[in-house]
Amino acid sequence: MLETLPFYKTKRKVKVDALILLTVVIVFAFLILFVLFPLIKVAISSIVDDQGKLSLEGIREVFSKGYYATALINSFRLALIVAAISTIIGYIIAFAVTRVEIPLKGFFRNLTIIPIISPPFVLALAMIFLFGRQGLITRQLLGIKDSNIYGLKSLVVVQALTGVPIAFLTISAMLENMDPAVEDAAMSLGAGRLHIFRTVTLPLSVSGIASAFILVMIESLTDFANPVILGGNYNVLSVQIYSEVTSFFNLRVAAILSMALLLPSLILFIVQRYYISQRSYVTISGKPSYQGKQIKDKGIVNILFAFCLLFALIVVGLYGVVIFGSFTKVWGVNLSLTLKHYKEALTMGFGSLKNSFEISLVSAPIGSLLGLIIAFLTIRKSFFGRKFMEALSLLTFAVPGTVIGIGYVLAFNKPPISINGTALILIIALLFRNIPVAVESGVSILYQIDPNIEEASTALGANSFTTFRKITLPLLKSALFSGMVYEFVRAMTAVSSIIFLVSARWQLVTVSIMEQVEQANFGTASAQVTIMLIIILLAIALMGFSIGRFGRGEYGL
Amino acid sequence: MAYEDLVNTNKIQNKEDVAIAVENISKQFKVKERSVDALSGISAEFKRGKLTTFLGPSGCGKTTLLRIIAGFEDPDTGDVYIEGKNVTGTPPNKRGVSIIFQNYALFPHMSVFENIAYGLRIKKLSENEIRERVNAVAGLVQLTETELKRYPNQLSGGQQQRVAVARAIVTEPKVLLLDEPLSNLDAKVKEYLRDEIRKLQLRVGITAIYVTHDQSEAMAISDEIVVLNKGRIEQKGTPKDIYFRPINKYVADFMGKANFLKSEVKNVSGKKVTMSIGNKLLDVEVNYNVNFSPGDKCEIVIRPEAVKVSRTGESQFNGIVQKIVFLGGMAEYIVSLEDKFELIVRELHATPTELLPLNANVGISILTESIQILKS
Repeated sequence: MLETLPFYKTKRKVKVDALILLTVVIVFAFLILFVLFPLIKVAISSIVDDQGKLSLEGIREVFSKGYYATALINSFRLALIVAAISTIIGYIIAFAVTRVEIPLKGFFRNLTIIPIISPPFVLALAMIFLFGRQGLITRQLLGIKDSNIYGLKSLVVVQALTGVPIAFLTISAMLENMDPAVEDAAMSLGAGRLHIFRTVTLPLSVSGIASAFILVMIESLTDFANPVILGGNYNVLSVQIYSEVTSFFNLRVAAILSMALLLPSLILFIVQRYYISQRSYVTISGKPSYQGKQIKDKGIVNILFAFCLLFALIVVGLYGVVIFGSFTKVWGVNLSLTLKHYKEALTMGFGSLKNSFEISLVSAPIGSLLGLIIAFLTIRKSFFGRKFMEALSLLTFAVPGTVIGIGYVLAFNKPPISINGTALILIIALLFRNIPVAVESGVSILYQIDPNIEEASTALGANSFTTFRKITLPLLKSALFSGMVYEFVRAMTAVSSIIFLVSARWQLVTVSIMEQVEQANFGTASAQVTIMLIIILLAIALMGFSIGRFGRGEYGL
Repeated sequence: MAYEDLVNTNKIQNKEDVAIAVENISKQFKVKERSVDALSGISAEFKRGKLTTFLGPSGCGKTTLLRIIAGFEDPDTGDVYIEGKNVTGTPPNKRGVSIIFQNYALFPHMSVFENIAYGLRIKKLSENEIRERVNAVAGLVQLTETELKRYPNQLSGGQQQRVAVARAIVTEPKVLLLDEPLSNLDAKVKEYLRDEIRKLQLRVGITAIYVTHDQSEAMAISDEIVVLNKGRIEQKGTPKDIYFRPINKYVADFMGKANFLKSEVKNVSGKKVTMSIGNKLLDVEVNYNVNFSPGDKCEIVIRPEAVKVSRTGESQFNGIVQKIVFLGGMAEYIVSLEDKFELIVRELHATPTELLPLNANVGISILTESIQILKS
């Protein structure tokens, strides 16, 4: 009887359609060329001698020098200290915001995003302004004349301040997704707050804590902007790589050091992603059915609120100091107000600002779209090498920017692809540098769309491309746009990945700021940073505006 | 008994028997700047050792009321009494109340044994006593020695449910609260565990409050049912009362399929009320005190199973079978009567031949004893 029905007559074989296959091939080509190939180049350089023969001699030589070994140890010591501090502070703030009835929750949440989207060097500049040789606190308040801000302690402070938001986001997501009924059950069985925390909440957060710790560690290991300014005699790998390239033109040593930085970051990343998060007791799918009861005990509320407020004041204060500094004549000497730094920043520094703006503007939309396509392919389609594509697209997250930079220099300095010194290499580097973020945001927005909606479109006769264009894309319009803004911000603020790729023609603003700081032109640097901050805030305001306009509520997503 | 008293037929005479009481409970929730009344002025008493069910559709406030009794929500107004003590404002861990959650909320990082022992450890019992009591309660809910060593994620839904029950009763709480404990289970397991929970509750003699949206589950398990709708109590009574004597259309409709027929009181003599149905009259014996007088507009509620179909001969009404829904051991017929109204009729049948064919002429008689009259 079924055969008589018309749609059963046109029996079609289920296969991955040609469009999907073509897209998969193109995406793989890009990922292999611009993610894997440069890293392989770095790896090869580190184990090949001058004659092009395989040799581990270079590696042995490098690490027999105490100098390099110290940099390696320093990097790890710093990362461990920072990760520990950030995770603890991040946990406390996350607990306060998710479990305790403190005021200003929205403010604290928003504040924690700032160090993530902030232009680089702000915190380092603030440290110099407050505790440096002309520091407001060291010189003016305490009268210390030869304060040395440079070294481990300052690095710990600025990296921890950047690490707290990362830890906060990871841990608060986990605490929010923890079923409140589990804690309620403990309470109904007679457990007090502290007992519940000790026996239920904390053990269930272990995986979140471990994830946060590792993510902050990676952030610290791969950080270049802070140590290049504040490191002083505390030498770390990322800065050492930079010096090898720019001061000694020793690409081989740089490659070896890059591997020493890359491998641990990569291993940590793999452990976090494929081991720890798989072992979480907290399921990330879907929010719990109801909101847990908030802790209202006066004592707990007050202590935690005070803690969050203190952290907020420090962050706001540090940013304030830099903005203030951009308007003062000579910091620590003549605090009278002036606009001369802005004049400087907008004349001498205008070219690099424009370059950064344009390059980010080009790279961001392409990057977000590519990220969304990769997300779409990897979570909605099945094809040979799907897991590999996912891994490739997330790889650069764990790759230190300086390593990517070296890879690009090594890979694209001679034919067939010779694009060193062009805008193109900057665009491509930034695009693929940020691809993990684009993919992750693509994945999270795709999860908001029931696959049945797409299947309904397919069932009605649309092919994959039509479905993506007519169903998926329109539903994701606003999410895609916020993704683009975020990509734009990340591209604007990038330092380490482009430091080897900028050229006289294509100078970028972050490198220009770095040069200003290195020449102790703190005023100009502050002005440049403040201008960047304004551009970023404008971009985010635009995003907020457009989401409000044709955003989320539209389709009830 | 006045008509209004049907709302609370089981008013507890002896205050000693009251295990839980709520008085004038109101609760609002903020949903996107708007206040929504979750509960408005709820007062009720619940008997010791009995199982009471809060029944209603989602959003009726049943879970909120349960969570207020447990102490996980604070009411905006009103008080909660447990064993005569006002516990409003007392934290959940000091109320002596255990709760079983819809998703069981087992501690995923602890073995089944440790899950059950959790409350006992808080009471600082000796290791021996803990082992003894965990084993005793494990036997009660039929958990084996090996299952005690497992972790929650290694158990089936039904087994997890048993663990949740064991964990909740091992501390011997004054009150056991169950928040839709069976809604995540397959139909068969659900029925089995429902009976198990009831057996256990009777055996332990614990006061229990059970939240569900499933009216047949409520009728099967409860001593008493509280039907909630939009934050108010519609009716409180035994399952039998609620089913056969609903006080309004909402309750009648929620408890099961029913025919609602427009009608008018024609005559009242003692307990006998004569009602009109179409152009026929029907004498209904009411065994509760309701003041009806001739001319009252009413609606009469007739359950489908209270309608008898005869294959031959004259009956009260004559009709034609318009539609048949085969339900297995039972069939549902839509029968149109000569007076241009339709009745839903349900009939059990033991053999296939007992099924009526479409368009069959049938005689219809209504069991007046089970008719409920609602004043319009």
